Amino acid sequence: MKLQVLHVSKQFDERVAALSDVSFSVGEGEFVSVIGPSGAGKTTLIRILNGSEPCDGGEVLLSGQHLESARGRKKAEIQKGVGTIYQDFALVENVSVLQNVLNAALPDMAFLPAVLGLFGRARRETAAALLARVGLADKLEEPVKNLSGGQKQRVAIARALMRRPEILLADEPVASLDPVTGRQILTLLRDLQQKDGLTIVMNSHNLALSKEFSDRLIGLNRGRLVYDGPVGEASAEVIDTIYAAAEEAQV
Amino acid sequence: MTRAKTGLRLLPWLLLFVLFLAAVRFTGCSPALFWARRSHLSDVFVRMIPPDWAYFPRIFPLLWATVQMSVAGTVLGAFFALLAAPFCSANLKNPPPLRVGMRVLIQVLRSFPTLILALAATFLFGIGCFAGAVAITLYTFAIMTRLCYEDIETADTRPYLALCAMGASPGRAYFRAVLPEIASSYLANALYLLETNVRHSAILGYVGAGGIGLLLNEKISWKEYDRVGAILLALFAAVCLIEWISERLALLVRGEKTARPAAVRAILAALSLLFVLSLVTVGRPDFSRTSIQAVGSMFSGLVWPEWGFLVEGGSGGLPWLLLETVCIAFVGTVIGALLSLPLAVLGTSRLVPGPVALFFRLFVMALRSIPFLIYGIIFIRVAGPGAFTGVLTMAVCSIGLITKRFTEAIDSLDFRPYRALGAMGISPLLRVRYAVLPQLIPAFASAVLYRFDVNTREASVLGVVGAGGIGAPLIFAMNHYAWRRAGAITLGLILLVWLVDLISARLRGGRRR
Ligand SMILES: Nc1ncnc2c1ncn2[C@@H]1O[C@H](COP(=O)(O)OP(=O)(O)OP(=O)(O)O)[C@@H](O)[C@H]1O
Ligand SMILES: [Mg+2]
Repeated sequence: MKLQVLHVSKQFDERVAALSDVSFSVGEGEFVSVIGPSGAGKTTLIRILNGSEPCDGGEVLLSGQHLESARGRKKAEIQKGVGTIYQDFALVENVSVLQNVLNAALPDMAFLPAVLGLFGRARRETAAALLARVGLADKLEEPVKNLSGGQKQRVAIARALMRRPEILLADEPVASLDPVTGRQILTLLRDLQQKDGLTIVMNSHNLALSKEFSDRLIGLNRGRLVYDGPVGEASAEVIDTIYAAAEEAQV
Repeated sequence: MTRAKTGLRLLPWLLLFVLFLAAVRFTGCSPALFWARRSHLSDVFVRMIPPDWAYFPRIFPLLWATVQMSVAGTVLGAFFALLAAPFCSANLKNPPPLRVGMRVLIQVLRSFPTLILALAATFLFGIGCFAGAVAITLYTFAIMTRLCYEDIETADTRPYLALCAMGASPGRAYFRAVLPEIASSYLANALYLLETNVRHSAILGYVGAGGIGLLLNEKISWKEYDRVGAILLALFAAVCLIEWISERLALLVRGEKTARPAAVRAILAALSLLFVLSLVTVGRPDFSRTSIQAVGSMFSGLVWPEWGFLVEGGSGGLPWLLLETVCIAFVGTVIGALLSLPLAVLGTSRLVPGPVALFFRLFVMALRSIPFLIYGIIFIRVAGPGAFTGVLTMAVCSIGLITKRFTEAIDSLDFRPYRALGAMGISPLLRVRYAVLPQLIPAFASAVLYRFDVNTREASVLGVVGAGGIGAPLIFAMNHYAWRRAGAITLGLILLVWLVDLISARLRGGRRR
C-alpha cells in the first residue's frame, strides 16, 4: 500500500471534530477522489497527509513509513515523496511563476546552491516544460500576483509536479479552472498516473469529473468516512448520504 | 546563462557594500571609540531619572506653543498643497511651463530641513512662534504637494476629463472628480505629517523660532539633566497622544472603522477649534528688525551665489562638505536599518508574546519622540564633534520610521507558502529565504530608500550641534548675513537632494519592474 490512514482524528476546538476515526488505504498508482460537503474535513485530511498539520490520534503511513511520529530530517525525507496542490494555492505572490515552481526543487539541492539560488539549467528547463504543459509558457517571468485565479492554480499544479512526486495530494485542483482547461489538467494527471504510476488523492466538489477520472471514491461527512468504494458502485443513494445535510447526518 | 545572471544579481549588493565601507572610513566611524566611551551615553540617561516633576508647569506653555506651530503649519501647508497639486500633475489640464515651474519650486522647497526654513523665517518675521509656523507650513506644503500630485498622477482621470468635456471649469472638475479619488490618501498623509511636525517643531526653538526647543537646548547645555528628562517625558507624552489620535483618525479615513455622523461632526468641530485656536494665538510677526535692504541682500545672495565656493576643493569646500553629508546619511541609514530589523521582529505580536511586543513598540515610540538634534547633542559627548556623531544620530533617528514600516510588512506576511514549502521537506532556513524574504524585501527596500532621502535632508542640519556635514557652514553663513555664501550652500543642497531623489526613484522603479 502506498498510503495508509489508520483511525486518524483531528479536533480544532471542543465542539467540532474535523476528522473522527478515519481509516482507508490507497494502493500504488491509484487515483482516489475524496468528496463531501463543505466543511467535511477534506482539506484537513490533505494537510494531515502531507505532514503540515499534526493529527490528534491515529497513524499515517506513506510507503510504509510513519509520518505522524516522524520528526526533523526523517519527516522531511518522507515529505519529499509527496506533492501537494493547495486549495488556496499557497504561492509566493510577488515572485515569478518560474521561481515558484523552482522552489519545489530545493529539497534535492545542496545547501550552498540552494541559498544562492543556483538552480541550474536542467531544473529551469524542467520547470519551464511543466509550465508549458499547463499552458503558462508565456508567463514564466510574471509575478504570481498578476495572474488570474485559474492561472495561479496551474502554477500550483506545476509546482506540485516539479519534483516527480510518488504521491500527489490535490485539494480541488480544478476548482478555479474553466471546464475545458480543467479537463485538460485532469487528463494530464491521469496520464501521469497511468504512465508513471503516480498515486493521486484528489479532493473534489465536481462529482461528474471525479467519477470520470478516478478509480475510487471516498465520502466524508462531518469528519466521518461514510463511503469508500469503486466509482461504479456509488449509487445515487450513496451520493445522497455523503452530501446529507448536517441535521440528517446526525440521525 | 544562469550563472552569469546570478553573478550580475549579486554585483549591486557587492557595490553597495564597498560603498558602505568607503563611507564608513570617510565619516571616521569607530566602534571602538564608541565602546570605550559608552559610559558617557548611559550617564546622560541615568541622570535624567528621576525627572524634575516640579518643572512641568514651566514646560506646558512651551509645549503648547510647539503643538500650536505644528497644528497651524500642518493644516495650512496641507491646504495650500491641495490647491497647488493640480498644477503639478501631468495628467490634468494645465500649461506645461507652469507645471515645470511649480515642480521646480516644490523640489527646491523640499531640499530644506525645517530648521533652515525656520532660520530663514526668523530673518523675515522676527524671533518667535510665527516664524516657526511659517517654516512648518512651507515644509508641509512641499511634502504634501509632492505626495498629492503623485497620487493624482496614478488616479483615474477619466471622470475629470468627462466633466471638462461637459463644459465644467477645470477647477470645478478637479474638486468634483479628482479630489474624491485622492482624499483618503491625502488625509492619511496629512495626519502622518502632523505627527512628524510635532517632533520637528520641538527643535525650532534652537534657531529662535519658538516652541520648546530653546528650553531643551538651554537645559542640556547647563547640564540640568533632571529637567531635560522632564521635558523629554512631556514631549513623549505629547507625541504619544498625537500619534494615538492620528492613528484613530487614520482608521476612520481609510474606512476601516466607522463612526456615527454625530461623532464625526464632533471630531471635526474639535479639530477646527484646535486649528483656529492655534492660528489666532500663534503670535504676530515682528517686522521691527527686518529692513528692505536685509531682505534684498538675502534674495540677491540666493539668486547670485558665491560661485567660487561651489567648486572649492579641500575639506572646507562645498563638494567635500556635501559628500560628508551624504556619507553621514548613507551610513546612518544602513546602521539604522540593521538596528531596526530585530526591533521590528520583537515588535510584532504575530511572532512574539503580546506584552513583549508592546514593550518594544513603546521603546521605539520613545526613541522616535526625541527630536533628532537632541540625539546629536547627546552623542557628541560620546563620539566628539564630527561626522561620526552625525552617523550615530542619523542611525538612531532612522529606527523609528524604518521599524514601523518593517513591522507593518511582517504583520502582513502570508505564511501559507512558508508552510507549503515545509510540507515539501524544505529546511526552515531555506523556507525563510524563499517564502518569507521575497515578501519582505520590497517593503524593506522602499522604507530604507525613503529614509535615506529624508536623512540626506536632515543630515544637512546636524552641523548645528557640531555633528558634521554641511549644516554648520550654512547656519554660520546665515547668522553672519553672508547671503552669497549661504546661497552657494543652498544651491549645493538643492542639487544634492535632487540627485538623491533621482537615484532613489530609479532604484525603486527598478525594483517594481
Ligand atoms: N486551522 C483551523 N482552525 C480551526 N478550525 C479549522 C481549521 N481548519 C479547519 N477547521 C475546521 O475544520 C472543519 C473542516 O474543515 P476543512 O477545511 O477540512 O473542510 P473542507 O472539507 O475542506 O471544506 P471545503 O470543501 O469548503 O474546502 C471545518 O469545520 C473548519 O471550520
Ligand atoms: Mg477545503
